Amino acid sequence: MKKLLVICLLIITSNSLLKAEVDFVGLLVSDIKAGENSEKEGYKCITVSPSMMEKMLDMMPSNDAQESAQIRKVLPHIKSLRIFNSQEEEAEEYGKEAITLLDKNKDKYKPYNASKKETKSKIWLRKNKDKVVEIVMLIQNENDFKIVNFTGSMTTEFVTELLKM
Amino acid sequence: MDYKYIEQLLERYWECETTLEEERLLRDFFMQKQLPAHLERYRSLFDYESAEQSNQLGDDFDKKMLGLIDETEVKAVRNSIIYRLQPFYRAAAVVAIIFTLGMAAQHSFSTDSDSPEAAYNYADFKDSYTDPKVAYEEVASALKEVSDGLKDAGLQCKDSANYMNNIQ
Repeated sequence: MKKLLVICLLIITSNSLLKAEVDFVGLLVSDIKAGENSEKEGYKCITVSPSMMEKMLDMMPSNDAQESAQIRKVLPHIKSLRIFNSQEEEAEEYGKEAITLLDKNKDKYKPYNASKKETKSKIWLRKNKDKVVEIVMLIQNENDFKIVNFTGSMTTEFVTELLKM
Repeated sequence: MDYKYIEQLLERYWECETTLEEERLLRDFFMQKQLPAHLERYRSLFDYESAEQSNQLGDDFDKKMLGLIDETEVKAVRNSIIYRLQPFYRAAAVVAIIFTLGMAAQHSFSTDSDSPEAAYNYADFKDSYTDPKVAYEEVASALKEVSDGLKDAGLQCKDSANYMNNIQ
């Protein structure tokens, strides 16, 4: 009986661990905290949770300007937003760390580049079956590094509307 | 010798009317070595009674009994905590099995669905803004940046239907 109980607990634990996926910024922040730069914290992190997204949708007026109307079409596809920003001297270092982390998780995050040209911002997408569930955009400037990280259910319709913005 | 008194006492004895003192007199009488022949047959009865009278509990009886009680050690059966918690283990195991099956079913259903919640745990998400209007401004700005980023990456509006194909 005890063995059975232990097995069940192990299954529950592993099940919950399997479910507890984090977004890329979450991964990076954990990585930074676990690493050598843990004490520096030369970055800011902005989070907009799914519940706040819902509040935003409720708040939005139905008849609005063109841009707001476009956002209203896009917002239901998004669940959360996280922005990682560093304007400190560690910015470049964090940029490299993010690239390394993306490379480590290359089975999850796939780089997106339709034109194959060199751009200031770089995009990685994470797919779940036929939908993109996460967008990670890295913007590296001279003294500034930023990650825009959306999660949600981002279909072709979402991209169509997003490109109209 | 006149044994009338004894005979009367005997008569009353058979009728159960004698006092304790009279019974004691009878016992004393029948303890004599020489008894008349017609009373000799009752000797054994009163001998027995005398013997029984002297057969009393001694002063050390209580002490002996208490000693025996002390010797007989009653051992209480001690149940270990593990043994006592056995019903709890069983109940917990049943709950765990039900919970595991439920979670397994939920997991299989949610994996089938396209909901992003199947992949992410938003429990750790702590909002940076309390005002939805401020959050909206941030999200709108971020969406614009991503839109520009996708355009920079070469995605045109007319190609959006194929954007999945460009994922390397």
